[in-house]
Amino acid sequence: MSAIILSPATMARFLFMEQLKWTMWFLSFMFVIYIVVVSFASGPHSSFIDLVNFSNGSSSIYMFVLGILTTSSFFYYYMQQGITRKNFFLGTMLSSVLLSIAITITLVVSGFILQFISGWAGWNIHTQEFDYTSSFSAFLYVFGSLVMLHLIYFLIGWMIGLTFYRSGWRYGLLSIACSILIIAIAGIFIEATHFSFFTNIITVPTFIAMPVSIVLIVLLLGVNYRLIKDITIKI
Amino acid sequence: MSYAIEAKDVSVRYKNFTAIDQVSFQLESGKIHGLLGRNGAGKTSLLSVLSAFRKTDTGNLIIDGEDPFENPRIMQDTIFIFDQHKDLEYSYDKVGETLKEMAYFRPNFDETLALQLAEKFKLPLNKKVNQLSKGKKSAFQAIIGLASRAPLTIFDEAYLGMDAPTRETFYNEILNDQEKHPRTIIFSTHLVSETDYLFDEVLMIHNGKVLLQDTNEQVISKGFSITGSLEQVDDFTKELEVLNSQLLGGTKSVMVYGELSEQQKNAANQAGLDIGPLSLHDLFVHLTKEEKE
Repeated sequence: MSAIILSPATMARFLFMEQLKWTMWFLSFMFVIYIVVVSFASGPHSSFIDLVNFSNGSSSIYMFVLGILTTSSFFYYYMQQGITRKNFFLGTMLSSVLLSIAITITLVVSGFILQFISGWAGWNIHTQEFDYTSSFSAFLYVFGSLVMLHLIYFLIGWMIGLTFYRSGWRYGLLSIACSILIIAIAGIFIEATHFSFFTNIITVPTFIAMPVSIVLIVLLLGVNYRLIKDITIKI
Repeated sequence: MSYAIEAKDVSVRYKNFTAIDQVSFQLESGKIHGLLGRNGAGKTSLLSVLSAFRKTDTGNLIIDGEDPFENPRIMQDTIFIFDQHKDLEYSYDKVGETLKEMAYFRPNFDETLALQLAEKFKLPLNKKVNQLSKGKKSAFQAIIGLASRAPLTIFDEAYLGMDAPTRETFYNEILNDQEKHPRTIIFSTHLVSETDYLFDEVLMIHNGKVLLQDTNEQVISKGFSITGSLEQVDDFTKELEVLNSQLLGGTKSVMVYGELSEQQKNAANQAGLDIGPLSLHDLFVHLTKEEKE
């Protein structure tokens, strides 16, 4: 009997490597756009937001799109190669966490490098909505928030893709409505979110916001597992 | 390595439509099984269940002693080749690279065989998969199906778009490789007349039910054409299952399905009736004919 090739770990590796390639393309484009904009928009009398703030919305949307594509592209392909739904789910879960960390590290490190060279380049860069450079705890908080935010957007996209694939457009539209609600909830608890409906009204302390965000992630994973565990592959 | 299959009262439903209706059958391991059925007979639904692409709604399905649904071993060892022309439009990798990539997923994949077959099917290895013609895309998939040497290999009308010589090559390669590396092959087709020689066994389904299942020889041995004068043919076939009849002047030719005893054969000879064999194609066409047709 041959060993199982498409185990969760292997699946995670394949997905992570492929999606990391896509991510590097995405970040490169964004980096170039940022450099061009910051060169024109900042100077001695005007400042421009730093890369992490600049990219927050678009990187979340990127993860959201990647989540939507997970079912129609990656899941469909790997099912044909003989993976089980459960192993695909576990692999995707792992790879999405890794990707959320990787994309956040890349943004933060690039942000630091740009801050570092801004003096030499004559750019005036400032942090806007959230500050991650003043202290290590501030850095950890922003870093953790961004990782969770990227992950939540991926999981929401994955849920929408799965619902459309599994149950058609009516339930698909319903899943979009649910997603707006989830994004609103995430907006309350994660200060770093780009899409926030209530941030200015409600400030939730970190010791509540972080565990609640983790619960939200676990709930989304639970919903996605329920959607995928006996899904029919359409041919 | 090859897998035996046992289905017991298996049903597949789509909302109010029953595609597979409590079918039971056994498929022996290491054989080529022809799965025959008309459009909408339920072939693809049945194959989807066998490949664990969907769950059965009722009944039990056992492959190599286990339920295939969400079974990592059985799913890894099952390859399902179906019409993917639209999906392959988004495959931007080169043919050669994609073929080699299959070795990651299929433990028995033979890369040498895949490259040999690519040469036989005249597939350009440096061309992107999405740039292949429809027939070449089918050949590309057929190569993956053959070179994977999966213990359960399923071809669902895998020849779509292939021209006649390519189809002939495909059929020959199935036989060649099956001889050296026996596996369980299920070959679903409409083109019965050109593929009947491939099958060890035949499973014919109609309107979601099993119409017949037997070895190819046994199925063919039950079909006869009987030709003679109108009265004598009518008299001889009044107790038999007549599938089709044609009348030309005073001569009548009928197709019958069922066993003919030696006594019946002798009686037909004495009455001056000609008895001939029927092809699998004839049997398929007439056994699955609807009353309105």
